[in-house]
Amino acid sequence: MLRLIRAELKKMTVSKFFLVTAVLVGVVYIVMLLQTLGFFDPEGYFSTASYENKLFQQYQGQSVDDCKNEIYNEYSRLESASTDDNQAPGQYGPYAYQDRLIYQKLHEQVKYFDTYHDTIKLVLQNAMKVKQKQLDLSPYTNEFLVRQSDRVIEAYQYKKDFSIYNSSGWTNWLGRASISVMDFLLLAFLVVVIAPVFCSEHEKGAFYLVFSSRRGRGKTFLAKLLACTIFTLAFTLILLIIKFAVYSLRFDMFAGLLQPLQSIPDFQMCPYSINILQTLLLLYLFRILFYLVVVFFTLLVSCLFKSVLFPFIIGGAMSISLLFLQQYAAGYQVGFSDINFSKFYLFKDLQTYSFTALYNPLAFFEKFDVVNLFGFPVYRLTVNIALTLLLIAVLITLAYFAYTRQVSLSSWNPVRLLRKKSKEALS
Amino acid sequence: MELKFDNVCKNYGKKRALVDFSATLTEGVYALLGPNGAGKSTLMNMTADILRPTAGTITYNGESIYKLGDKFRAVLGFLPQSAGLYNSFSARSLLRYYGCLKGMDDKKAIEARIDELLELVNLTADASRKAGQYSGGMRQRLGIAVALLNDPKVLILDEPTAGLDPKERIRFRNIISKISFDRIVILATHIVSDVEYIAKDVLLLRQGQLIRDTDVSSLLAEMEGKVWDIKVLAAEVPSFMQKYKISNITKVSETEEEAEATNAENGLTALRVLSDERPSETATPVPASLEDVYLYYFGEVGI
Ligand SMILES: Nc1ncnc2c1ncn2[C@@H]1O[C@H](COP(=O)(O)OP(=O)(O)OP(=O)(O)O)[C@@H](O)[C@H]1O
Ligand SMILES: [Mg+2]
Repeated sequence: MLRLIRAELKKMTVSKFFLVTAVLVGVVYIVMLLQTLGFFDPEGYFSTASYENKLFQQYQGQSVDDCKNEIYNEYSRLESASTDDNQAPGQYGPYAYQDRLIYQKLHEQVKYFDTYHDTIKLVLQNAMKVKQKQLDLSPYTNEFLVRQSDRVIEAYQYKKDFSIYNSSGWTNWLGRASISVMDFLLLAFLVVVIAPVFCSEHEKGAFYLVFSSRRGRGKTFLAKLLACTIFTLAFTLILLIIKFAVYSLRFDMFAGLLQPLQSIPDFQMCPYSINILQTLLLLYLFRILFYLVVVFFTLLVSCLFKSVLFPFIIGGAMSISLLFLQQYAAGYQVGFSDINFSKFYLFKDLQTYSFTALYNPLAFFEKFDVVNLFGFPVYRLTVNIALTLLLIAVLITLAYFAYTRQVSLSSWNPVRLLRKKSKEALS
Repeated sequence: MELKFDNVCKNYGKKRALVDFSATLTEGVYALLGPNGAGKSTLMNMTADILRPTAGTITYNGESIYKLGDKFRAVLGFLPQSAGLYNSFSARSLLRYYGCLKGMDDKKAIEARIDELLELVNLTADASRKAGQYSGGMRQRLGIAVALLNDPKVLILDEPTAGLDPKERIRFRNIISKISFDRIVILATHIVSDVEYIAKDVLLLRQGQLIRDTDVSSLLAEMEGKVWDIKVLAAEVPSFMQKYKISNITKVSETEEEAEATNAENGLTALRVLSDERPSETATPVPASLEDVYLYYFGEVGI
């Protein structure tokens, strides 16, 4: 089986077309990454960056309480010394100007850490209130609200220990993690590579040998499926590593890796107790799920039509339309305050399901967000993943039947069918 | 070892490609002969688990081959009529790939087998070239090697000699006759002479129906007194062609005297005529070949 998978992977990747496209896509990807980080900026972005990292390293790893006074003081001293004269770099030592900006950053972070627990305290108090008052509505609502409040308390009660690090790299990374045109080019690349896997045999007539071999259709299907999955995983992982390497050139990316996600202001309300590394891995896991949905959809189309052209067109069209979907009909909009007062809000909740949300799952990490599942609060993220897995299972099952069916050698081709029908109608 | 077809039918929509095909095959070579569209490939594809019959059963040692599934496919070797090969693969890596597909897991054994087969089909020198650069005949030979890879007990060859040069055809014939004593070989072909000496039985198919299933010698014996040699004047040839099935036309090489006696349009032509009765006084009966048999069944008067 392993050798079969390896052979399938080889079939996918050993071709001039693949190599050329892969190199091209890779180069464009890296250039665009460097571009977004100002690599081609003549102003010496990188020297500033390294200076910034150095200053941060002075305080790095110290707990907030230990150094907050020093930072507050130093910041106000620099602020008060700042006049129009020393705004320009160079006059009061080479870094006087940057010093002030960087201390501003430091100061912002320390202030955020300092006030974080007060904000959370308010949320907890609110939840306690809901729980104790037992709002006088229908019995179901009560139950759900109480359970939800329990969840809130459970999520936020643990005190977070923050220590100082330069968070601008991760803020930048997460801020740019949303969908972009480039990501869809990469998706299209994936589709182009995956599309022929399940139908090249039919195009070339090699299926006679494949289907009549001992391993047969079932095993071959499995091997191809796993090969596609492995390829998608490897592809996403390589992109992740490239991105990390490029970001590391600009920011000190390792410093914050083990800090709680809540140390980044946008994720103050994150209900999960996870650090940045874990967030990153989850983010990419979800992105892989998203890719897999597209991949398996492409695969189903290619099994159905047994021709490379259709999956190319449909896969390509799908990735482009997803781009628009994501931008113009973005996933869902449910806020923290959105409380469902009826028993079965499930349908409405599921209406908002969209697997594209998994491409940019940051929204799931920004707020406390649950679905009312028969009176029980379940994190929307969990529901979303479950539904996506279900979708993948359905796609695979359909593809399996399409691939292994033994009805006829001629494939079900709508164009051919239409032509035949119209010919019949004419005669 | 027994491969048994029991009233096998195959319809493509309304088109009946195979009608009530029944036969029992044991070790040996079976030649499947029939004109284009007779249903040969359809029958072979069903035996190779590519298609399923519309009705009827195919059994191997008493069990349905579809129930046996991979157990049957494990002993199966198949050369399809229009095998596609992966053009970017070399012959060797292609054979390795099909080795995987055929479930051969012992790496050493598979390499040894590949070497042996490449030698057998005379491709050793081209083993590392891309299959896409192969000539038609080389592809066909590679296909034969793939079919033989797992040392199959049931070997199905759909027009294996199409595109092979005479030398390679003879090599192929020798391979098949050497290995066929302990396996079932079904071989469809239009080149009748390929199977004349190696086939144990001949199955004649016409429009999806099995019209004869006997051994070569009895087929030839039946043809006794039905194949005639006649020398006629060139001008008479068209009228003969309209009346009889003609299996061969050759110009008689004339001696000088004959050339003097006859002028150009009266040149002598030798005809090989298939007819139940003596076509003319001068006709002499000759021993039949399998090609005559083929023509006797499938030929048409006037071609
Ligand atoms: N996929 C298909 N769909 C519809 N009809 C088909 C299909 N394949 C074959 N046929 C029809 O079935 C009949 C038998 O075809 P088959 O390919 O078995 O003939 P054959 O004996 O192998 O001919 P040849 O000598 O040309 O290879 C033909 O009339 C053909 O048109
Ligand atoms: Mg055929």
